[in-house]
Amino acid sequence: MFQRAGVRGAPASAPSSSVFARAGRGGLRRRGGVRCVLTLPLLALLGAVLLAPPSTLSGQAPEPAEVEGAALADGDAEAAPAFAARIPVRSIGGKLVARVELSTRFRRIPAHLWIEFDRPVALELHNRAADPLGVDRDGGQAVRVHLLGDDLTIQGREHGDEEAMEAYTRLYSRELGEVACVGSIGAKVLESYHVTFDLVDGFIHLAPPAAPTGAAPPEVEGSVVTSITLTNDLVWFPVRVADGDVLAMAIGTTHEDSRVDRDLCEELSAPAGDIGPVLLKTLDLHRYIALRPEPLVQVHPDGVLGVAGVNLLQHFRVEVDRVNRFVRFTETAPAAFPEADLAFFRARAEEEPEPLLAFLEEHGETRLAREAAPLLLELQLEYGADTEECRTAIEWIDKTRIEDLRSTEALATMEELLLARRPDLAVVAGKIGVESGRKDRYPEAVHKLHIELGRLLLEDGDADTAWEHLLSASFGLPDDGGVKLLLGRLYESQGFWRRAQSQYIQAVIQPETGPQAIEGLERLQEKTEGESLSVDLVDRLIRGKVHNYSAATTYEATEETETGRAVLVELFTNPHFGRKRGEQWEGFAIGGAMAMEGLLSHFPRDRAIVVSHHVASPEPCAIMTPLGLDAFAVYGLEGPISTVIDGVEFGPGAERWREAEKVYEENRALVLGRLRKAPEARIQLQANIDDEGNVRGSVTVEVEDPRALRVQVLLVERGVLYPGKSIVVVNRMVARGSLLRDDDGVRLDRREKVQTFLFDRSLSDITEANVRFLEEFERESGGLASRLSVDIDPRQVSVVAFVRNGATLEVLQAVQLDLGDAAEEGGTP
Amino acid sequence: MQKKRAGLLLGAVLTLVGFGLPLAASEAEEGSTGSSELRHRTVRDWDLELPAERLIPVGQGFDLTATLGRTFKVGLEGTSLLIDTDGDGEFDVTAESPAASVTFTGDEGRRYSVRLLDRGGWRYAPGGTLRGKVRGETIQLIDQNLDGDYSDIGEDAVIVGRGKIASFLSRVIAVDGELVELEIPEDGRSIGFRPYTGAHGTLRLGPCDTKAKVMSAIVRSEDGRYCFDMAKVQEGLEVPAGEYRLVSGVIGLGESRVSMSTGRSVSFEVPSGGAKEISWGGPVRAEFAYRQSDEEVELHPDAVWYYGKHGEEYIGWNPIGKSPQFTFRNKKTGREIAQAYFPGTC
Repeated sequence: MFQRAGVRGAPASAPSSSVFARAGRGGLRRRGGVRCVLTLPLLALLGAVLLAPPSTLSGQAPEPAEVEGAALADGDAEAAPAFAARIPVRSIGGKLVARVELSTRFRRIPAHLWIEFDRPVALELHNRAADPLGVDRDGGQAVRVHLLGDDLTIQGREHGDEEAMEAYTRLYSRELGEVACVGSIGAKVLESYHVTFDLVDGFIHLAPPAAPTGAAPPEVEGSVVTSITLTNDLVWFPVRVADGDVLAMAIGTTHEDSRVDRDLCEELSAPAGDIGPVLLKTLDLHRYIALRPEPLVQVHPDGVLGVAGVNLLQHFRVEVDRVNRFVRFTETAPAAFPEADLAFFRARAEEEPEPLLAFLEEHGETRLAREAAPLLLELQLEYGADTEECRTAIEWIDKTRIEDLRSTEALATMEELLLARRPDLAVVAGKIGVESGRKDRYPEAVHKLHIELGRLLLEDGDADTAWEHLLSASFGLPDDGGVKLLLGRLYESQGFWRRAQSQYIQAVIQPETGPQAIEGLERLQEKTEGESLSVDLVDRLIRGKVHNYSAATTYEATEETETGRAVLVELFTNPHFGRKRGEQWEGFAIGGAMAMEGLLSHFPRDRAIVVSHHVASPEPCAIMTPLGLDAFAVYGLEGPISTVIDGVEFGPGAERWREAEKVYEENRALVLGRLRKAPEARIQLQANIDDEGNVRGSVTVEVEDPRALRVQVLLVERGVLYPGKSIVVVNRMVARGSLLRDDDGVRLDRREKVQTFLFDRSLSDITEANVRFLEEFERESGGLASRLSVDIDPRQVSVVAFVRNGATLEVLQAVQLDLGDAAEEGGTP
Repeated sequence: MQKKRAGLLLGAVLTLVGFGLPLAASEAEEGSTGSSELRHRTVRDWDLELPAERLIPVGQGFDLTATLGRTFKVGLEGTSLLIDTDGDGEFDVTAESPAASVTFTGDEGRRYSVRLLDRGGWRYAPGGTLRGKVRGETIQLIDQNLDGDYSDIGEDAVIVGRGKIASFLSRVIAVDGELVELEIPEDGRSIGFRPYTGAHGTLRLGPCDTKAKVMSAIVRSEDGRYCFDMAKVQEGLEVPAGEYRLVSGVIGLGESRVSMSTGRSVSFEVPSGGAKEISWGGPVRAEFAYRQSDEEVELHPDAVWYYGKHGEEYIGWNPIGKSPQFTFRNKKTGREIAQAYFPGTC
């Protein structure tokens, strides 16, 4: 879908003032378009695009572009900022974060934003904040950031690392309260101001840029003033290291630790970052902080030492004057060298487990212990340590975690240990995590641990202990398919058939566990010799647990619609059109499936006939057929989900369950429209199915003008169990194959007005052909489909015949005959 | 680091002498010729950048005959992928959507790791490396083409040193500025090395005119046998003589990245005994396509191309949400009519 891009500065008098720029991901093709060429200095381009200001692309030489997203003073977009504001900030989890309110002309919301002085971004926003604010509407909206004092107005937004924001909010939800971290403010905003960091007081002060003075300000007692350089949007100040070299250090707020270039540390034979004094004039910064060696991707003409972090700013008030190019450091908290930090950097540099263990034993209560413990486990796994050594590391991981997140984070440890092929240690981690379950801020975490423990212990043959864990999880997460499936298997292994069936039924409605649950139910039917498993049985058992739709009204015949026509509704769909969001599945095709249920309940079968074809996109599935793929191609459909009414009208099909009624109403209207058109053919259909699954019969077609017409006879299964990501469990009226010799039917003889065709095909023959097709499809595409429900249930068989104009694709008439216990003959007037 | 390496070497010598074993040059890591054992390492949080990474469908299973001596079958169960990771024909690992990593084990406990992603069907990418030492320098091999064999020169990938950015696997690598010829058996158990003695010349990439840091700049010979990362050798590097081409690179600043690819750049020759310098980087030539219909001009983020001095293309501007700014002017008067940019969601 195309979106309108932002357009500014179009003078009304300009002859082409109605020119709009449009941007989007569809439509524009290289071929056929006009190609423009221009040359830009790489400095400008990389500076512009890498470092944020958009580059200017025009036929003219590029001029300094007005920054999209740069902060503008309220009320006057062109003037320099003329206001004063304070940003209230806190250091939480190693990030400097501000509690603000954001607004657009549509809405105002509270938010937490990271303050990232050393990142060349303006305003980054998570989609969950940008969407309700309508930031991207109409080519982009101005976002107002409400601060103490004046506000900032920022044009548009950039994408941020949404996963990082979500993880941060989850970890520090207690500190953040109910307000999520949804973005960041970076250098592209802050560079427009005279900025003073005063973290001891908890504020960043923003003032208008200072007036040029032409001289450095005086140093007063307790402060150090030095010159700065501005390179790549970062503010750099000079420092002298032990060998006398002068290098550049940037001011940053993105990380807690002040970082030093790892390559430089290697050169100085100080892999732990202990490079000695770092002198800012007379001030030795190394007295305040331990430098953390990390790879740094920064450049500065004088050479890069590193980037100061929040831990340095917590000792100083730092005033940055970009106009007069100076920075003033005033001590606000006395120096207290963090020995523990250096001890960790030293232990980490050894790349051996023992130093890390020694660090934890000595500094286990310190900030970096939380980082050291997982590293210890990683190294122990790498070195093939025994279970007891690894248990020690796991215990340290648990001890150093945030107290009310121990269960939540134990899940991640279990996952890593399973990845490392150590299920024994995963059980250890799970059991340790369970102990903190009651204190965890996310109550479901402990239940998930119980599920994982139950699964691992069940696989290990310890059914009794597994049962305890699974039962506990089942009480906590009553809708979780995984725990139901595992309990079903456990009960089945112990001969408790009824209990097992109950659990499998609850598992069958979940995409992850549905197919396995169906297999479990089939096994149980064999073992108990009870009512054989059928779609109807499952349908009854899951009723109320899944989305269903039944029309509120039934079809009422009118003179206009009683033309004798039966309308063919073809739904093209896929069982895997959905995705998981959090713990819930979101199906994008279920609205269409429910709408078809609505049509089936509203119209009698001699007025509307539904046939669904499952196609290969977004994922191949076992119930797709060459028949469906051919029809999809013939109609030239672009998306996998839509409905085709009598071959000529197109209706909606891909919607969420909430939209089912809308999809139903639109398709119902299309069917009613077609019913008003008198049929141009009569069809007599006769068919039966024998005990061996052979479907035999005949179809007689009567038309005035048989030219270009084809008759098609399909074998359709009224209900097929195929739970998938679209969260449809029972798929209705699934086309399985053609009963005539070709998938596109048989062409009528142009000389005969009445023609009869015989058919005789077994269900097993259709199944085998479909499986062969699947195998060939998988070979050619590299995709993989399950083999769930490839067999056709003879109790669910219907036959659908219709006559189509091969040139226009219009269906002239259709008829459906339900086999099994139903009538075996049908026809149209 | 030098100090630590020397210490380790001394330890190795003492141990060998203590057991009365002769010191075999081929087993030592020091020296111009030798071999090194390769050990598998699963990269749990994949942060390596490959020159030509691709995701390929899992299909019917994993054929790892070359490395592990067997094939491994897969099956679907709901949204999960069932995998036989030890080759005994039974499924023993369940990969849950949308992403997972698995490690296969084969003969003699050998391993092979992949990352799995469910993107409209399960696909996979490399998830581990073979790690060894060549003349004391760490070397990591990656089975980039996913055929189970780490020795495909020009197709698989290699990282020399501590970096995270790989280049194509090369018959010859540079260690401390000297050319070393590699010998990698198909089974991937060890890597042999010896001095390269063939014809060679000096290649120098001129300074890249950018404010950012050149993190990698990969050149590859036209026959695919030789590949070098020129990012850290601004003074030039001895390379085997032959025809080369710029193939990939990464330029970064902070967390921002842009990738370089061959684009329209042409090959160049490094003569035997001679030197070759090529210019690259800025000024960048930007091209864009647009479509005009009635009173609207349509622009598309995918229809803007950036070419460097040598014809190399710059792609994948990251972070997303940045946009060039388009200025529309009256052709006759030069007066600005409108400006446009791609919104943050592009």
